[in-house]
Amino acid sequence: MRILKKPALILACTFILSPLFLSGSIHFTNVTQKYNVGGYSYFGAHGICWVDVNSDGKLDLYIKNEDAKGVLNVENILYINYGSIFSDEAFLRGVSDAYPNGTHGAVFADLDNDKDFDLFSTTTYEGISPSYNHIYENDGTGYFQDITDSISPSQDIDTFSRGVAAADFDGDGDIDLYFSNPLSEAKPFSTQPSPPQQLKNFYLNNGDGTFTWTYRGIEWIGFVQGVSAVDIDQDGDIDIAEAKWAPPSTIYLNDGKGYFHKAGGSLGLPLTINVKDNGITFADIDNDGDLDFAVIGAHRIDIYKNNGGIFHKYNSMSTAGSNAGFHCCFGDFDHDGDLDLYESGGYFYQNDGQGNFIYVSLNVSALMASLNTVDPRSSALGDFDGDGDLDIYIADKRGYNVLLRNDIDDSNWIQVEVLSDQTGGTGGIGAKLTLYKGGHLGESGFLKGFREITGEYGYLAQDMPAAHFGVSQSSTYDLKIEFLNGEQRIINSIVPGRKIQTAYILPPINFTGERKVNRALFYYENVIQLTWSANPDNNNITKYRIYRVQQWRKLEYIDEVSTEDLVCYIRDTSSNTQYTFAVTAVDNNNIEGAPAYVTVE
Amino acid sequence: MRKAHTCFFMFFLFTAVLYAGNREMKGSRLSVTGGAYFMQDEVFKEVYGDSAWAFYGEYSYRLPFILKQHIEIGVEYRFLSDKGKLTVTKEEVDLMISDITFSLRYLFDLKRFIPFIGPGLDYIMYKEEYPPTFPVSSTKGSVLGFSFQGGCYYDFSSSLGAKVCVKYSHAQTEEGEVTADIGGIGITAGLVFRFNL
Repeated sequence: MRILKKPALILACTFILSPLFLSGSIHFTNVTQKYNVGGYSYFGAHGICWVDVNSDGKLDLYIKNEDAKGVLNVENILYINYGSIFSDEAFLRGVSDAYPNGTHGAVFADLDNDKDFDLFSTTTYEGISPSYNHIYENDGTGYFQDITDSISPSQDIDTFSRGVAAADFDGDGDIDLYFSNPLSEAKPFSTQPSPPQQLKNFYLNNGDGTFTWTYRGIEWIGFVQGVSAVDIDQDGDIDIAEAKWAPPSTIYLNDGKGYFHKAGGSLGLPLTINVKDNGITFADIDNDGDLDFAVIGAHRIDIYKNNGGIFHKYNSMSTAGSNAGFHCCFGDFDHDGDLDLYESGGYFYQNDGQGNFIYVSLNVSALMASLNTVDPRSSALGDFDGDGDLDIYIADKRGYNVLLRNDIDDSNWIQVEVLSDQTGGTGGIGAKLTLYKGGHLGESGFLKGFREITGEYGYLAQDMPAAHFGVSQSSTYDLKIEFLNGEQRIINSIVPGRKIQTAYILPPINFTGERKVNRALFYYENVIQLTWSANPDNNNITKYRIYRVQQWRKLEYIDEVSTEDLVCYIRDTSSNTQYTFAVTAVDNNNIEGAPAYVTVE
Repeated sequence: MRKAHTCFFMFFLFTAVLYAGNREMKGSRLSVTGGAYFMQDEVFKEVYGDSAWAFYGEYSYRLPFILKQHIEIGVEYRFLSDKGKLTVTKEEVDLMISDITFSLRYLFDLKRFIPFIGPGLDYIMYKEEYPPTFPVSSTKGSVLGFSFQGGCYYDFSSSLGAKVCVKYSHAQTEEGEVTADIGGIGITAGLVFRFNL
């Protein structure tokens, strides 16, 4: 009896005292019908990606669907965001990826460093062949071409992929791909660990548009659900964590060259637990500058804190209702400066600032729509309406998907988008962003948030490719961006309520375009003179590339000029046509930076 | 170009000294002159500078039976070549102008000095070549113009003299949307060889 009273007392105190801990308020509205994003009537959704595929500045939504209600060849959904409505254009744009048993893992990443998001989409084998993984190349306008045949050797087995990961695992300047369950076994759901199998589960990017299918040390020892890829040990390379069913979920550390070894036990993860974990999510929940994590499944969420590189479990929460629990995500939904926790299709928890999570009542959070989901799987965070806060999309395998709009409506936020990273590609996968109170850069006592940009994580979720911080309006902030190769960029005096765009190689400055008449004695042409200045924060720039910007910001190469010129003439232009141009800086490693744009009326 | 002018000037002086003092009236003149041509087109000035060097060769004949031999007719060939830069991109362009002028002059015989004045009709051919980045590779054309000139012969002898001439020409041409005024003022000096046909 005494044992029972104590939790009850704690719970009561929690509810009574919670308003004292929590400064922000949380309110979501179910806007699924308004934006027409409920998914197919036969359902089947598992995973979600928030990504701007057509480079129009608005987040689009990719839904990864499995076969459902006996319907095979279920297409994935690509909801293009038109502002007031979304429209499914997956088939039109070439990424419906309708294979017999559908898709689980998929991730968008800039695989060819051309500053748009390409797609790696897996296919689930459940007895119908072929079930191959696919790679799609974005043409820059959100239309995709299947380039699966760029994988060598060619796929010759069906796979049962679930979670995937995308990052520059071998540090060679391009994004590699990892996929789980590389075996041709229909429904490999055994609850007993398997003898280790060294199966090829990486597509290493060769940097020339081809991929090498290979094995890099991650053995298959049991069914894998979600995969996360972040720099877990903070040594400057991307590690991999897997949520498993039979063997315990674990971590594989990268040696810096893209070879992995299992290290869960040495990092404090349990070695013997035998439950069905579905998702594993990393985030800095206590604002101390390192990554903690939560693992979800078997009707519980276990939270582990990172203490000097060793993890220890300090909290465990039950999942909502009968949910086994597939995915949980962290985001500062109330803009109070710490990461809150949302259980996909379940409860919402506010962070007290120390990494302790406090249940938020449904009256406050308006998350009844979340609990009304039938079989919730993944959920992903993205600011689809551009108002600065984090909205949530929930995938429901046996019901309509749900879009929850965050209605916090304030300016207590900062978003940071990495336009191009050390690979020259967009997205910034692996970039670490640390926010400090203004004037206190690098001082741990003034650290206001730490984020690492990742691809797919948890259970088949990919958040928007930007870091979101909740901040106080009364201060300015300094931001340190550390790229995967160790290079850093600093942005000082950031005012809240802004979306910051940064890059490994920053755009040239003072980019202007002026119409001129280029005369000879007997002939003249209308030219546009583009001029710019070198960005003083860039190093080792060797040349500049000039592009004409077509519809949807597709870049059409025009010319390259040396660093001595800083001028380019666009020849023989029409005097009554509006043109938009972009210029990028390229360094001595041929890494191309983020573009600067100019429109000439 | 400066070296060529120096050579030309030295040749002129040498020949003048050699033939000085031996003066006799002969009807035909062959003159070789050179000088600056100041085109009045503003675009020309921007592309090629204020002036260009031009070289002339002329055959003229003093008509024996008209106005007491004070009338001379001539046919002159001019060649002008210059390099310039496009106004914005500063890429190099080449200009060649050659023209044939039929002129009629009234001569004033003042012993060794023979000033002249008179009109002319010009047939002008031009060609401008552009860099490969330009929308067209070259422009070629021709146009008729008229001119008016004044100057002076100075006879060193019956076979050799000098000539100084100022010539104003007027010619406008249209190439597509471009109207170019290729007229201007030429100031030339050179040697004159006299002979009888």
